[in-house]
Amino acid sequence: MLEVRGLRVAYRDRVVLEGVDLAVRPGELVGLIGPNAAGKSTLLRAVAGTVPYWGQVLICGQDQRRLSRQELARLVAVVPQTPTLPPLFTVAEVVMLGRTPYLNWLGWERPEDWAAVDRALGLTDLAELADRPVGQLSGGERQRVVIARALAQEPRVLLLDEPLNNLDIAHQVKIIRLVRRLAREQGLAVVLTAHDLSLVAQAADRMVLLNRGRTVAEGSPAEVVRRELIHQVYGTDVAVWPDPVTGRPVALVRVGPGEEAPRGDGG
Amino acid sequence: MTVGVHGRPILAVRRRRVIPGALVLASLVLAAGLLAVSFGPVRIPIPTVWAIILNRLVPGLVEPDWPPTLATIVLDVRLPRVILAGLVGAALAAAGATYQGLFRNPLADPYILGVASGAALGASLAIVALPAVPGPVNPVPVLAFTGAVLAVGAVYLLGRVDHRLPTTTLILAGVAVGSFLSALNTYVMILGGNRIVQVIAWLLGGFTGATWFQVTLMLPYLLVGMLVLVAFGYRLNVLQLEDEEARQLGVDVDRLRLFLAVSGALITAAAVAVSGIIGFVGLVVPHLVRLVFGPNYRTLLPLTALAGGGFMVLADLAARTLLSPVEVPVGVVTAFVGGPFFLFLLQRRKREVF
Amino acid sequence: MDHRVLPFKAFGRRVRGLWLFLILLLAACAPPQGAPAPQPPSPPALAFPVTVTDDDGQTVTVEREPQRLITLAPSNTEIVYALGIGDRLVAVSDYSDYPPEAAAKPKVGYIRVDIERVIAYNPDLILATGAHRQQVTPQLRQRGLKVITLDPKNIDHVFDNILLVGRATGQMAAAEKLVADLKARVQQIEARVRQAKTRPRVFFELDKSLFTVGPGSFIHDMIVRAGGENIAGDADRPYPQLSLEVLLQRDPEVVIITDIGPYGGETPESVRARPGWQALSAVKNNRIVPINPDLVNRPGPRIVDGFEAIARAVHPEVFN
Repeated sequence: MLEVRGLRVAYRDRVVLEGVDLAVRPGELVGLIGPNAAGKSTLLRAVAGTVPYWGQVLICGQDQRRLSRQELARLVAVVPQTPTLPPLFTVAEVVMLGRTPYLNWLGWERPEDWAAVDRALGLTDLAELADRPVGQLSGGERQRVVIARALAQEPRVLLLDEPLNNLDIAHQVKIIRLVRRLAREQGLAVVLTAHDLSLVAQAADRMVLLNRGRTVAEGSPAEVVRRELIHQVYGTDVAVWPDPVTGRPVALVRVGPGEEAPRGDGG
Repeated sequence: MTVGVHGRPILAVRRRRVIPGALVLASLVLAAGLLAVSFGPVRIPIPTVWAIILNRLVPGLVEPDWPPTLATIVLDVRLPRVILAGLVGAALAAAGATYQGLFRNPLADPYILGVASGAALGASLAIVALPAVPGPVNPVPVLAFTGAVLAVGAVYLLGRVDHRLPTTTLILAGVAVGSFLSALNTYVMILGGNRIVQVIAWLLGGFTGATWFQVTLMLPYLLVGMLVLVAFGYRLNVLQLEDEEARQLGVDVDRLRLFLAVSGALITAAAVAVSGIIGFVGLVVPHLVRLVFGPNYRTLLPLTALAGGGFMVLADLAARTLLSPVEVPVGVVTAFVGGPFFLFLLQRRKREVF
Repeated sequence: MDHRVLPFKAFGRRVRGLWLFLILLLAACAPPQGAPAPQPPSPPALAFPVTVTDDDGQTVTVEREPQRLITLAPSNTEIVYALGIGDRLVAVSDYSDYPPEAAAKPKVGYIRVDIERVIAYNPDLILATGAHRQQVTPQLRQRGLKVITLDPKNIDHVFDNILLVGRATGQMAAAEKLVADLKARVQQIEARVRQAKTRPRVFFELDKSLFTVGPGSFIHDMIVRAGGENIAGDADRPYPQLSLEVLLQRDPEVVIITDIGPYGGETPESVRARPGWQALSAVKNNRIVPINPDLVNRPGPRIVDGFEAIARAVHPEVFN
């Protein structure tokens, strides 16, 4: 579905990605992790065709460079890290923006466009809020609106850039469940970036660990979330146990005494 | 009818309910037009006004019992004037809405890309420097139009960065070119000596000399430009997002922006060429329509054009009747009425406008 | 006022022309060199010092007969020349083009005056107008220069102004003779006009956006004295803009146009060709009269020529 080969991205003389390979099958949820500036967002942007790159990106077997912007938008949808939501637009109007790649030059919505918006609202459980201005919504609701907008694109590949940021744990779970369900039920190839290693490990089918623009590890969550790998990449000590219920790895960050000077009276 | 996940039909609530409001607005604009044709500084009985118009439409339908001067006033003075005011109002309001959407800036107006200062310079040069040519071709609107287009061209060239068209540089280029051309224009006006009076009269704007010829001059630009803007209203919604998001939705942001900026500039230039620089309509009318009908540009653009036309027709009616027999510059009326009305609505709604 | 004021004519080369003009302007801003030597005093020196009260209500005392005059308006230039002392003008206002030799004099601006240059000419009397009252005149007076403001409101006031300038410049005899001649001409014109049996409706067009004259303006006064009825006579201001509807309804019998010449370009033919104007009596009866705007806009001695032109336009029958 999505295949990335030998991807290299450089801004002027600064190399951001170097020799990255990635393959995502339909229905598969891939968790992309790595420290800040590892190149996670850049990888998503390259796939979405908004940064120039060397190497090859294949989407449904087609060279991404040969697709027009409109064709690409019908295959790949992005949930950006900081989406803009014009506050006075209603939920339905924002989700309808996802139909942009399907509209003719006059931009009149056809019944199938409304049907797609309906489906996207239904999948994200937003039907009740369809007429509300997005400016009035909570953070979790706004995140779902952006996902619904991406779903209205009826894409085959869904890229989510840190969709769990700024959400409480209840909403984090809600969103990641939704994403996993979308992968399974809609057969989407999903790539998601996040900082919470345990949460991603719970939901992802596979994980990819990026560092300084290169793939450091790739495989099942248990193969990627390992103490020595995490320490090597992040420089941070973590304890990793398997979850007694799912068997997936749980990473506990150890703050420790660190560089702080010990207090005089000891502890 | 599609059924939502909870079994409730949601298509019905999906679209903003604009149709009834739009019909009310359209009737109001029509009423404004009828009012404007019926009244003027010269009192003509309203039945006579319509008998004159009917007689022109269907000759022989009514027995003419009015002096020919009245027919001239209704058919050659009032009608073209009302129609021209409506067209110009529609053009300015639609261009204003377009630029507000294009630049995501509630202060944008049709003149933001230097159209006004370019047109003003062109008109001043024509008035001050060009020997008058006999014949029907008036060099003032021609040079005003040329000046407007050249100014926008300069703004485009200056605002372009590596084949991209970022809104900030575009706005800054518009401001810079505008100030430069205004300075030149002031200089030309000073050189113009007593012809400065004609330049100021032009700058104030208005429909005093409206003729059918001007209407036909204006109509093609306006119709084509309006069609383009209304058709592209949907894409203006997409431009409310960050450029990268819009690209990810399959939109060629730079080309779309250029296309919309040029369309807006052309209809503004055409409007300015026949009526001078009339402020406030292009700034306030889009906000008024947005307050009532919501921010969706698909509906906003056609409704703004409609409302702008009606507003200008009424403003011009006031301009020619308030202090009869003397005219008030229509720009004074638009600012005088539009400003307080806008603030009033803003206070009542107590919410974000943009 | 004046219509031929262009420093550049070729529109195609306007940018280069503009730069050229800027450079010339800079050059012209340099202080005038070689100020001419004082001229010999006029033989029969009148009793100087004289004290006059100008149209600003200012009392101005002129110590000795002025030899270095500057005018700040074309009308004032015309008054000075008419008194026979044009050679005492060291500089004149922009657009001073009558009599023709005035055009060759150095220029110091008009509404906007170059104060530095005025001072550099070391004038002993400056003739300003009401338009300079706010900014220019106070600045000149602060620098110790003698300024007399002329701000006439009607024809008789122009005559008073001519006498005022005559007194202040020691040309009283010339001024009295000039005013007597002008008054005699006005009386002749008014006598002829009294023979007229009609009072035609007149539209006086300043430009084609239908700006015209109303009560309180010089020209309205002259139209009335010439036996015409100004169709904008009920306007609330001196220079109103008239509705085309009202113009058509009031159906002027005479249309006077002044936006003529190469830049205004209005002609009887162009007025006749305007949409809707064919219905006007003035158009039907061929009574569209162009008048040189300088004759009616400049409150100087030629205002009587302007009055006569208006009277001939309104009542051609009594002048033939």
